[in-house]
Formats: sequence, C-alpha cells, structure tokens
Amino acid sequence: MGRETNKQRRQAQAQSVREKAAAARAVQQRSDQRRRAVVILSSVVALAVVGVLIAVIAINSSGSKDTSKGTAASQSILDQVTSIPRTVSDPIGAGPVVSTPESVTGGTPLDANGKPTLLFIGAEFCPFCAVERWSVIDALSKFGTFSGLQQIVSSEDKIGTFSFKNATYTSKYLNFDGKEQADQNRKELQKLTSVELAQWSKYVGPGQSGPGYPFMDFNGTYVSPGTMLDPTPFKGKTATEIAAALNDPTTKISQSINGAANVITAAVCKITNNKPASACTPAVTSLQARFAPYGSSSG
Amino acid sequence: MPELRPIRAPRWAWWVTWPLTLAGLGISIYLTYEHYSGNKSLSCPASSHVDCLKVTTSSQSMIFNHIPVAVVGLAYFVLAVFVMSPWSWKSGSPLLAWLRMAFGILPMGMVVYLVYVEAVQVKAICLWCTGVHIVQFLLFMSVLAAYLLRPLDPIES
Repeated sequence: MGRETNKQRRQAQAQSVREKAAAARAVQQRSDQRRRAVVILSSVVALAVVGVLIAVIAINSSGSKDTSKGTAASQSILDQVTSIPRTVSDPIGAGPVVSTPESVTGGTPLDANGKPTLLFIGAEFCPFCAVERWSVIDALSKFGTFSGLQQIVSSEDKIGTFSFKNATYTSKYLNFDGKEQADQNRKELQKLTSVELAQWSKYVGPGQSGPGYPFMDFNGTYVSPGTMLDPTPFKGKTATEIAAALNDPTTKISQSINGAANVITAAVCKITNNKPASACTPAVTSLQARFAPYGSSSG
Repeated sequence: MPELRPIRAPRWAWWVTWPLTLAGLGISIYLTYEHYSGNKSLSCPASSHVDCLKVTTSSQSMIFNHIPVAVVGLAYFVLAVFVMSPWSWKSGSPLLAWLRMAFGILPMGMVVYLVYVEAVQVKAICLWCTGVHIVQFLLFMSVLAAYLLRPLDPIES
C-alpha cells in the first residue's frame, strides 16, 4: 500500500514536471511567435515608409523640373475629341467663330518634305489657345495622327486643354508645326525659327498692336492671326467636362469647338487641294467661301 | 491526399479586415461611378501635386486602354467582402485562409505599381486612390499579422 502511494506520488511529480515544462515551452513558443511577428511587420512598415518617401521625392523633383510639362493626355479624352461624328459636326457649320482664316498673297510657303505645313503658335497660359487647340486636334485628326500630346490647364481662366510642346503629328497630307511660345508664367518656352517669327510678326489680328496668341499660318496661303473663339463658356472647365460636351451640339462648347474645327479643316483642305475627300466634305469646303483677304474681315 | 487542418485566426482579425474591406468597396464604387459619369462630381482638392482628375483621366487609368483601373478595384473589393467577412474567418477553412492571404498580399503589387504611376508618370496624387491604397496596405498588414499571430496548437505534456 505504502509502495503504491510512493509510486503514485512519483508519477504525480513527473506529471507536474512535464506540465510545467510544456507550459514553459508554450510561453517560449508564444514569445518567439510575437518576436517573429514584430520583426516581420516592422520590416514591412519600414519598407512602406521608404516607398512613400521615394514617391514624395519623385513627385517633388518632377514638379520642380518642369511645371508646364503637364501629363500624358488621357486616351479616353483624345478618343472623344478625335471621333466626333459628322452628324454632330457638319450641321454646326462655322458655329460661333468670331473670325475665320484670311488669305494672304506673297506669303512664305512653309512646305517641308513635299507637303504643306500648318504652323500653330500658342502659349500654355493663354485661354484662347486653350480653346482653339481642341479644334486644331479635332480638325487635324481627319488628316493624320497626333502622339505625345500633354494635358494641361491654362493658368489664365483654368481651361483644361493640351500642349503641343512634346507632340508629334504624322500625316501623308500635311506637316504640323505646333509651338508653345510661352509657358504658364508667360516665360519663353519654345524658341521660334526666324521664318516662324517673321510670319507671326507680319500678320497681326484686328485690334492687336503686335503678334498675339493663338496664331495659325496655313502654309503661307491663309493666316489666322487672332482668336477664333470666345473662351467664356470654357472658363474653369476641365478637359473631361469639355470632352463630355463635344457630342452634344446644343452646348456652347460643342458649337464652338466643332465650328472652329470645321473652319480649320476647310483651311487645311485649301492647302491639301481638298484631300482627302473623307475630311474635305462639301459641308466643310463650303466654308472656304468665308475666307476673306487678310485685313478685310472680322469673321 | 493529406487532409488540410483548419487554420485558426485571432478574433480581432475578423473585426479589423471586414470594415476595411467595406471602406475599400465604398471608395471603389465612388471612383467607378465617377469614371462612368465623366468625373463630373469628383470631389478632390487640386494643387500642384494633388489632382484626382489628372490621375483618373490619365491614359494610365485604363489597363490595356480598355479596362478602367477603378473597375478592377471594384471587382476586387466585391470579392474581398466575402473573403474577409467574419463568417469566412470563423469557418477556419484552409482554402479561405489561403484565399485571404492571396487577397491581402497580391494586390499590394498593384498598389506599388499605381503609386509609381502617380509619382513618376502622372506626377499627381489622387486622394481617393490613395485612400484605397492605404486600405489595401492595412488589409495586407492585418492578414499577415493574423497569420503570424495565429493561436498555436496546445503543446502536449
């Protein structure tokens, strides 16, 4: 009886030791688990902090490099401006344009590579240019393709638009020479060639004492030395808002952009000998009759 | 074929991940709505570096020029609502546990890419998108912490 009691006591003691050891192991395991979790989670947080810092530095450095550069133009907005149906644009005719291109005699042809050239001189701060670029892109997309367009907001009147600064244009019918002469702060952005400067200085818009923005020279045959459009309906509008209104001909925005685009298309057709027929439709070429000699018209 | 043992999870994970997922879902619904309504009512302060419109209308806002990033985010959060729900955590299902792990970790690759796009290519930050990124990061941390701090099997004495 006494031996059995001793055996039971020894078993109970062994059991107690095993339980204490298991408990100690569990505590140790739990502690290891927590330590491991802290190391891994804090490493992830540290990596995230480094990533955020790099992103902040990247944004700030890009901003200080060139604030006028803008961002790559939204493809959906470009799709909207370059695919306005004829059923929308043709009935608008010239729309509310306040001036049309004027014919010049003895102008300097700007041909290059055997093709006529359309010269556009604008400025990124300029609200008139902001509006007219929409029409230029709309019109020229009927003759070729733009790439590298940047999306900007004009510093005056805050109009969502594009910059031609880094854009290239490909067409078998004409060349496009788009210059942004000044940046958002009215400082010189792109240098003009002597020929461009001469053409710009030679043809001055009504009421202007010197060369102004925007300026268009259709291969030395027609010029548009002032604004075609009233920017008032566009003030404070984002590119998305403008693009969304393009297909609704009841809006001032659609009438303005499509009207000016039709007029620009008609002038381009003049220098491409009305090619291609898909762009130079009768509805568009009929607007050519409105082009008066330089200095005699006001729209 | 070895039988998969249920994976236990700390209870706090249930009540952290689900509200986060619902918040992500809410922002994604808003961004998707704005995408299809032309961003007409997109509410976001604009400064030189913070500009939601710049980001949400950039060419990078569409995957392969066809799939809006906002829609991808919405699809992810719709599925995540089920995967991160308290019922999913409670079930202890190893399959759901691995799915949760995948839902927590894999989208972080997309987040890193989108932050890169905003910082380097678009050069603007969209606050709503940043909200989604923060939610996703917290989800990632929660799922990882829940796994690392999962209740251990009792040690046999």
